[in-house]
Amino acid sequence: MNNRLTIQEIATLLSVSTGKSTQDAEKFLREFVAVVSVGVLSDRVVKIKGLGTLKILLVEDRESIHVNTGERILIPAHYKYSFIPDTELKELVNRPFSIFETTEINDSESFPDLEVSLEDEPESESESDDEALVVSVGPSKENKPEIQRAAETSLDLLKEILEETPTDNNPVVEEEVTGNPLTDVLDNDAHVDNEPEELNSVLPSNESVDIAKVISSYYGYESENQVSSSNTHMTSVKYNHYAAAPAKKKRRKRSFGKSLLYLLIIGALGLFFLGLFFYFQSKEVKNILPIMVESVPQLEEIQIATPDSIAKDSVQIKSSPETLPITPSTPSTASLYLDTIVIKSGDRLTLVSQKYYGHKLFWVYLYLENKDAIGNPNHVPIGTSILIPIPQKYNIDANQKVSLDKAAALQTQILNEE
Amino acid sequence: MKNKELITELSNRLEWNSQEVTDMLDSFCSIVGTHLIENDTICLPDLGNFEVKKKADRVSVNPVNGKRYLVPPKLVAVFKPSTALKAKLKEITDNE
Repeated sequence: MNNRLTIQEIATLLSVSTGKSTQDAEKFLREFVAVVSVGVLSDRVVKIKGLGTLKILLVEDRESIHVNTGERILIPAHYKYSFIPDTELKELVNRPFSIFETTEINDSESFPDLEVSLEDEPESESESDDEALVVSVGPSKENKPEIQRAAETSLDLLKEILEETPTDNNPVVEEEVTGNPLTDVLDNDAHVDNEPEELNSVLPSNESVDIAKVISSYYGYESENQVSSSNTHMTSVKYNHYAAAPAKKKRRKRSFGKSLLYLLIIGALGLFFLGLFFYFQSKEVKNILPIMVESVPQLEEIQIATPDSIAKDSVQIKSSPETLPITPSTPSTASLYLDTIVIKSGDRLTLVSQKYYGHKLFWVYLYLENKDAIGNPNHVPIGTSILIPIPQKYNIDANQKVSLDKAAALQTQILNEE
Repeated sequence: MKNKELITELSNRLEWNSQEVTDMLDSFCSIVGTHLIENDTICLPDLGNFEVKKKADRVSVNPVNGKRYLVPPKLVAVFKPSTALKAKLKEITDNE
């Protein structure tokens, strides 16, 4: 290996392989060198079978720049030796690398990309963990306002419920306390009962989720008393919580993420229950309100115009003919008039038009209909009772340009009259 | 100078028959080959050295269709002429 083989060593090897004496072999080698050197100089090419071709090539003169001085110099034409090994020798020498072949490279398979992708692999794994955490934390933050609101409104209620509910509820709550590694959170929870607003704003998202969980569990008991079907939901929630509790104790990254997921699910369920609760509550309120108002017949007219919560709905409802029989007004005017309102402080014809017809331009029809009562459309006296005509009477449609144009033309006409 | 001319020239000089020279030349070439595989250098004074060089892998581009090819690394037998042989070459250049 890496030996320099001299003529003597080669001669020894030759004598072994051919059976000639080393002297003869050495003599042969010297003659060989002499013949080749003479031959290459005279013929400029020597072909040695099994070794290769030795040639003398002409290098034409060329210009170059001197490395040190930077001057342009002319390199004169000269000769050089060129040795091209025979294919036999070439393949013999290149045997270690013969397995490789020239391959076409696609742009996407370039080496820098491969290296980059290899380097990215471990990073992406760690990133995915982080992302999972971030993602799981994100929604809880979004839920936070809702949870806060829910906590504020319902914590007092829940506390009452807890106190009212029989003692078999208490062990569950205590278990939750022991199963939770974040005991300080529960301390906070205790304080939340006293100062819900402050602590909820201070609490991190995780803890707010805990609150939601507690609320959900509390609410579960509340609903247990009311609705039997929610009982199964509640038990599943409890089960999830207990399953999550031991996992959290390990405090490992993965298990933490899993427990976060469980918490999220529990929080979502709690929110769902709360949403249902408030939905039914608000429905009850809505149901109660009309009954109360109907019991006072004098307020009939005002009732439809005043409640802000119903106002938005009433615009659509009033415009649809289905609700016409519902509107409490005299049967004779019901077919011609949507409603009769009494102008209050701050009311304008345009606002009334916007409310009933969907566009302020249609105030002109209100004016035309109540011309006798109104007089000056820019100054309608408070307490004036005006009739709201049905849209069909003047082809009122806020979505049609023709109707709007007609109203606009009428408006200019009315304003010019004054 | 072809291989046959080389053999006849050698047989004339050594006063061997051509068969002996052919055998000797073949065995010499095989020895050179086997020792080049083992990364040895064959030194022939007044002629030069036969060596093995490793050519690194490279990317070549076909100028016609722009396709890129990865040319694998390879081992190449090279001949390094001795200074004496180079000097003779210079004499040719000077004589012209």
